[in-house]
Amino acid sequence: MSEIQKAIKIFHGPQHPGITGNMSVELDLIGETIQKAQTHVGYLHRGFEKLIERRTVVQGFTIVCRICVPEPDPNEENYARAVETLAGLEISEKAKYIRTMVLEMARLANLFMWMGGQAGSIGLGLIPQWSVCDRDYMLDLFEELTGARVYHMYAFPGGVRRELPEGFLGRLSDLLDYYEKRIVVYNNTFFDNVVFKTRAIGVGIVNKDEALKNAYVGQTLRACGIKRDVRKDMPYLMYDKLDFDIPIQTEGDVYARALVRRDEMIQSIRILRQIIEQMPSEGDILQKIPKHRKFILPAEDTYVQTETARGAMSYYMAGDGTEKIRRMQVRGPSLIHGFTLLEKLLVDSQLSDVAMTMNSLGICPPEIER
Amino acid sequence: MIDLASKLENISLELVEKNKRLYKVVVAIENLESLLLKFINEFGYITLDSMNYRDDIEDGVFTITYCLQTEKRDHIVMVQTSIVRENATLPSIHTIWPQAEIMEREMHEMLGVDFPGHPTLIDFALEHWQEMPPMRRDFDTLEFVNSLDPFRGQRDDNLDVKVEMKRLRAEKKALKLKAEQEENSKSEEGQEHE
Amino acid sequence: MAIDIKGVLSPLSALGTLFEHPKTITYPEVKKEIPKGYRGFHINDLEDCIGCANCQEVCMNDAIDMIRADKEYNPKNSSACIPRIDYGRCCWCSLCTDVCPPSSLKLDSECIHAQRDADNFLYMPKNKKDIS
Repeated sequence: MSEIQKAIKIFHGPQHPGITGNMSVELDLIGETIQKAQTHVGYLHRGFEKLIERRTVVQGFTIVCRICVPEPDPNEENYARAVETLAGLEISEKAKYIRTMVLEMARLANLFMWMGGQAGSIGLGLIPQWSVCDRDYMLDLFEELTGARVYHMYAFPGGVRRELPEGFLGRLSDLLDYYEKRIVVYNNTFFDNVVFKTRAIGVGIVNKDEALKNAYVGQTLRACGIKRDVRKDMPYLMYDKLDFDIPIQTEGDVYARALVRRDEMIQSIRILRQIIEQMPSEGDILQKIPKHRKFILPAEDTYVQTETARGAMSYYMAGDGTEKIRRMQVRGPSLIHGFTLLEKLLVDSQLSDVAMTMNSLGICPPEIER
Repeated sequence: MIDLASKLENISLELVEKNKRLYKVVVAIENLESLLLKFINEFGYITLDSMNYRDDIEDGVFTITYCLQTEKRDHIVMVQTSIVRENATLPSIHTIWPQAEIMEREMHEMLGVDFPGHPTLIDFALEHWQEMPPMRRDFDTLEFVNSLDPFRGQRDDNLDVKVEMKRLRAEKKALKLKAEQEENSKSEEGQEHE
Repeated sequence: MAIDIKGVLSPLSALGTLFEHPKTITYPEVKKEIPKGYRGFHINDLEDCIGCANCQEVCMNDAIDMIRADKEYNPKNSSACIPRIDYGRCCWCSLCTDVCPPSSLKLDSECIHAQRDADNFLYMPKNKKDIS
């Protein structure tokens, strides 16, 4: 007797607790096995690139941090560095140290949020409660330093906007001691947990041979054994003077990417401790720049890259000889991971692994469609 | 660093070095595909990092930039070309790099460029969009937004500060003149009494 | 099949947190201390404000209106206008406080403003001497 198999089409998202944001994946299923996947975005299009075209350099800096919600600081850093490259500004060493410190703090905050999302997607409800609380302590430090918890608006073309508060480096150092103890606890409850290992090992394996050509970035590459990181390959700010390693694994599945992220948290703590020791006590934090209607960008274009907690993020910026920015285009790591890689990885996998794979690739919909 | 200048002599192009890790090459549209293949096969720039676009409406062209990166991810080259705005078409490179499929889809929706041979030229972020492609410079977003939702009222008492400054100066001058006239007339009266 | 004994037993260490002090505070009896320098609501020192409209010019959301003052607070105010901010459009970037020449416009730590009517979001910054 022949079996008639019918394919069912369902929409996984945009309202789904396992999705890392507002996007949907259209799935064709037979039973619970996926035959075809197609990604749909468009629920978060705010039109940043068009908004920037009507604004001057100083006004535009307040918008860019809203492009990515969990980690806004690499956006501000990219914008500031692109403007400094076009206008020929040099920033002081103290400002470079402070900007590096802010980037590493944002990386730690984002990795805690990732851990909550990854554990929540397979049903371990305890880890998100803990990791969101630990992230909150870092947001308290940001509130003291920059004046706001999430949208900092701190890294300005020419330096940073405010001085370090009194005793800030001591409080940061105490928080890092607390985080080192918490990583041991997370090892016991999450990374060594037999439930997570059974679900995650052997799922979502990325093909190593085409990874470099297809422009995969971040932990997706490093979990396949390819050691690439913008901080070492094209260093910026103070990264060429600081001592840190790039962790890699070889299997390329969800569990390997989780271990790479855990090791990156340890490396971030190591970098922050070096910055606390080496921070210069004197220096200008902000260079003098012209008033906002008189800050003219020359008619040239440039391309800058920064390493975020999800991978390499690039900005293309062009000026046109007036005070307004001609063009700013954002290319986040999730554009390729969310479309090309996800549609390939989900074929022949199970329906219950969709949320886990998306969290593991680090797909952030606000970055895809700005 | 590969010495690009000597190896690209026989194609007509313009080479600009921005810093020791970033180069820009400007080439005509006819030589674009052969130059991209040359960069992959001979010079080791195997990754397509992004496709960027810019609307130069004053010159009547779109300026498209392909950013390629080496295998070690330590050098970037920007390959730039210009195409005419009316009926703009570009050759599709999704057979060389699979990530070009989504980038070309976005460019088709936002800028209105056609890619013959592309498998899925459907919408990317805007559903049921009827107006012109929004990233063109002649699309006025302020007018579009105001035609859909009127600006919220109760802010009609906003004043132009320069007009107010002139008005206040004129008022103060008129008051001062009036005070002077009154003083003059009082002193005249006082003299008459005497 | 090998059983992962460490993987089964080590998550049970989480039971130790049953006896720890909770990390949350009982709002609203206990309120969190807001640090100095938080970007909250605006305050404007009307005796120093000169009505130059630099804040209106730099605001990138068109959120600031200059309206006629009800009385003369500062004789040096050359336009007799003071700023009023639309909190439906403001993003608290504090660019307006950076460009204020006499530094009369500042940001305080207050941050709670819940209203039923959407038109109640046109906010007149409090005068500094009314607060302290």
